[in-house]
Amino acid sequence: MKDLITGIACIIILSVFLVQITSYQAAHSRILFAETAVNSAVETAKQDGCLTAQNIAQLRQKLAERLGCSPQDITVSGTSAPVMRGSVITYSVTYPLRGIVGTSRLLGIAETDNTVVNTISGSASSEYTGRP
Amino acid sequence: MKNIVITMALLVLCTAVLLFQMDADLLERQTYRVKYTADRMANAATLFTDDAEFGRGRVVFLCDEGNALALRMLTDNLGYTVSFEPQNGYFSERARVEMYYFDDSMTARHYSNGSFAGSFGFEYGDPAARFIAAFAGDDSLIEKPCAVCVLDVGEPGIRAGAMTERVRIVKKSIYEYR
Repeated sequence: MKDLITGIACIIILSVFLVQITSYQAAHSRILFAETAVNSAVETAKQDGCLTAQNIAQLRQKLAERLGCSPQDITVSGTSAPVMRGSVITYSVTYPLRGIVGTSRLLGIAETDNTVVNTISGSASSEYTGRP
Repeated sequence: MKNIVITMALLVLCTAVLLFQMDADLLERQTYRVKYTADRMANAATLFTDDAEFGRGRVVFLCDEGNALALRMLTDNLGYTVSFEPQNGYFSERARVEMYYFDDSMTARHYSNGSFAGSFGFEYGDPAARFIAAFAGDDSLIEKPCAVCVLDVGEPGIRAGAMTERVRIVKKSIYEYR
């Protein structure tokens, strides 16, 4: 009986680590998706000379669907007026990343505490020439 | 007692796997950032051309302006200083940036960390002029005016170094003038 109890306790402890491996991989895949989506939006911004409202809306929608949050949770800021070829477009995208600890319920971690806010920021050079 | 010993051994194994996984994932993300930074640097380098030459139908890059904007891409996207020193906490070595400009002057110019490092003649489409093969890992010919960026940020900051081979992160990007 004693062995059974310690065995079950050991499995519970190990499950925390095993679940964490998969949940960390899931978080990584979401972060990488966000990086790719932002990079794709920046490529569009380079042609437009700035982050247009349409580009921002599409990015927020795309991120919200993949990250499981609402578009309002995602903040996008940066160059909003067109700048000419050779000028710099800056951007900053902030999004919530939930479910970092896979066994949060078992460990008694509240969902609000199990969330980090990630920021992707940088710059790109405009290729906008003013011609349609 | 046997259960506890086995559990402790498995805990150590799981921790090692988790550490290795975190390192590998972080490396993948940082490598991706280095790649798109190299792309943006090569792109930035092609944005400035000599207007007088352009009026004669030739594309000749203004290398100083191109280098300055390329350096701005490096500092903004990877957190390096203007003296190519790392600041973001992941990379520890000084970055090495090699820029090559191929344009209608038919003289390729090479800049190393922003300083002029040499020039050599070339021709478009010349199979003997597979310059890129030597430093960009690509056997494509140079057919149009372009800028080549080779960005070497050194070894990544891997904690589980004993479990994996340390490989330098070097990304190359070629951007053709449009």
